[in-house]
Amino acid sequence: MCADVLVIGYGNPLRGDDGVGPVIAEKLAKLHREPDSKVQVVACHQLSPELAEPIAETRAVIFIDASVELKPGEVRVSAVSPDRFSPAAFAHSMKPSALLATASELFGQAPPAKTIGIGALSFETGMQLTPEVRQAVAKAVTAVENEIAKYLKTSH
Amino acid sequence: MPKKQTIVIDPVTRIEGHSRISIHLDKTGMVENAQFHVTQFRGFEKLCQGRPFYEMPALMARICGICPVSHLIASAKACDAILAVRIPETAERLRRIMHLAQFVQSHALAFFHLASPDFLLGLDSDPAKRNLFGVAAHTPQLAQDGIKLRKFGQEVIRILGGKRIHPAWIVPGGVSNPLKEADRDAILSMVPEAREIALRTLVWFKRQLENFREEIRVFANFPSMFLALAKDDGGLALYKGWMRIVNADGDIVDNFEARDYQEHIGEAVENFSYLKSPYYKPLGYPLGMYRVGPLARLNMARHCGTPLADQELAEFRELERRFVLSSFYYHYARLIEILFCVERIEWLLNSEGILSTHVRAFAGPNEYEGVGVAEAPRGTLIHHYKINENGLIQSANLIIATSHNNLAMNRGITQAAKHFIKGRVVQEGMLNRVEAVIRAFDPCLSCSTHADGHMDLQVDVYDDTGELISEVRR
Repeated sequence: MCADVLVIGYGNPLRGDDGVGPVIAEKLAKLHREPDSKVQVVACHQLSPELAEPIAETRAVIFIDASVELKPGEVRVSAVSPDRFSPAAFAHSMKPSALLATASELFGQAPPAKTIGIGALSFETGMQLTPEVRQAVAKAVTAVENEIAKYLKTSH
Repeated sequence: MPKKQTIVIDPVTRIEGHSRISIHLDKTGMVENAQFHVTQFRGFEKLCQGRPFYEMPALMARICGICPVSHLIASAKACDAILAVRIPETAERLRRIMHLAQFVQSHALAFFHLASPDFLLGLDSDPAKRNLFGVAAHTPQLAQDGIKLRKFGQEVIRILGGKRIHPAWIVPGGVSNPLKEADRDAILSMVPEAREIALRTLVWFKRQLENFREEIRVFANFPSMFLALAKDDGGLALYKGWMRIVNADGDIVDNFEARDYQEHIGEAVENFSYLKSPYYKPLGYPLGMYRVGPLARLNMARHCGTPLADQELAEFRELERRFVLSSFYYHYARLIEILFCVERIEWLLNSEGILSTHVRAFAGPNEYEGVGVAEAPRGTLIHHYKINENGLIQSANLIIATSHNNLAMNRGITQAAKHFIKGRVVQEGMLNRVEAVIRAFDPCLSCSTHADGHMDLQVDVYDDTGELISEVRR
């Protein structure tokens, strides 16, 4: 796996808006499905440490996640840096910053990274996104595509 | 008025929180009791209603990001029961391989990522360094090994299922595709490294035990019953077997078929947690407390059935005269199970007929009800469906592995808190030990949410008026 840009959409697909990350990832996967694509898209439930290896091998990484800190439907692009600070207690998931730190310390490098946050409204059991979040999906896809374009431009 | 203080340990993965530990002190500052609160778990039963039963395995696999294969298997087995078919032998073996691979990756996450910082750096070490990065800085190989084992498990699942996270390869009646020779060989080529990692980690961990005598003594160390699947000959069973309950002396208390689980297991609800508390019905609640998971399985197993794991099991048995009762040893049992799973995967891949193309039995629904039970990494997992004449789910009941240990976890943190916390001055290392009791059980709350905006860990101390007198966030 040596894509130029790695896109990781994560969240629980059975918990309402929490599943927006994988929903966006699946849409992006369709846009970048040609075998020689420079973009690799991963949809997953949560961030786990073995993702550090493909992250270390890529030139840029974009994380897509629901956020409780943004207004429902708001899409925000933020830069994220490696951060070792991660007392995981007994949670089985990692933050993007901790995953980047893992890539850096165990696999030698952490590429530049962005997070695309989508403000979420409901986390009730179910596979439906709320209308606010559903409407934000296209905007988030565009935001990711813009970031991908920037990275691809600078890497060549 | 006597003062009552409450200490709250609050690890959350979003603002509302996944779970919390609160420790209640009495007027003298001694621990009265402790509670493990799960605030984010939701039942998925309602989501199932009205869906075609044959869609259930793929849907249920999406419940959890850590043990999707366990849900897939328990669900598929419940559907096999509705079809009333006996699945082809090769299909069962292929399901088993995926199941074992998931044990490896799940146990590796628990041991290397969550627990090893405590063992390597110490329970009192700087919390800012007591994590995977601290492990990587101190002993890079240990951190690398954890990731390699995770990758091994994930890779086996990806090769078999074609999709890493939620493979829909396991279906009612068997599996959807046979194993290709090249894929078998690809998995076999990864086995030696995984086995070496399991063996060297066991050697290392056994050397650490001497440093944790006090923790071994008080980490949920008490007589209890144990529940696990068991083979007729008493061998370790992960995929199928009797549901067996044994007491702390190793005597069989009950032995029943999965489909009869409701006659033997009740589910209590406490107002402080969303997580139910299953118990052994004949003894009632809460007396009917039992433990599940790696410790329960290895206590119950007369043998594992693979050479290296059986050697390790024999040594494990020497820890205590009878059953191993300290929950600290969940970690030890987890490592032996990793070794067993790697050995067993190799054996199954080399078994006759594993490349057979007869991997699925076809039928329509022949029963209105089906129960599927399998051992998940954390313990016995039960899926129970009832369908109508159109094959649509009318009701579903799920008992997840983590919930079986709820009563024992609550009792365990109370035991540890009483031992380590004395008075209002609370050191971080004391609270870490209480958390470490929970880590030993490795509860999985991944069926919760994973949105950004979380606090990692919060420790609050309140006085009797409810005023916050001490607060730690990290």
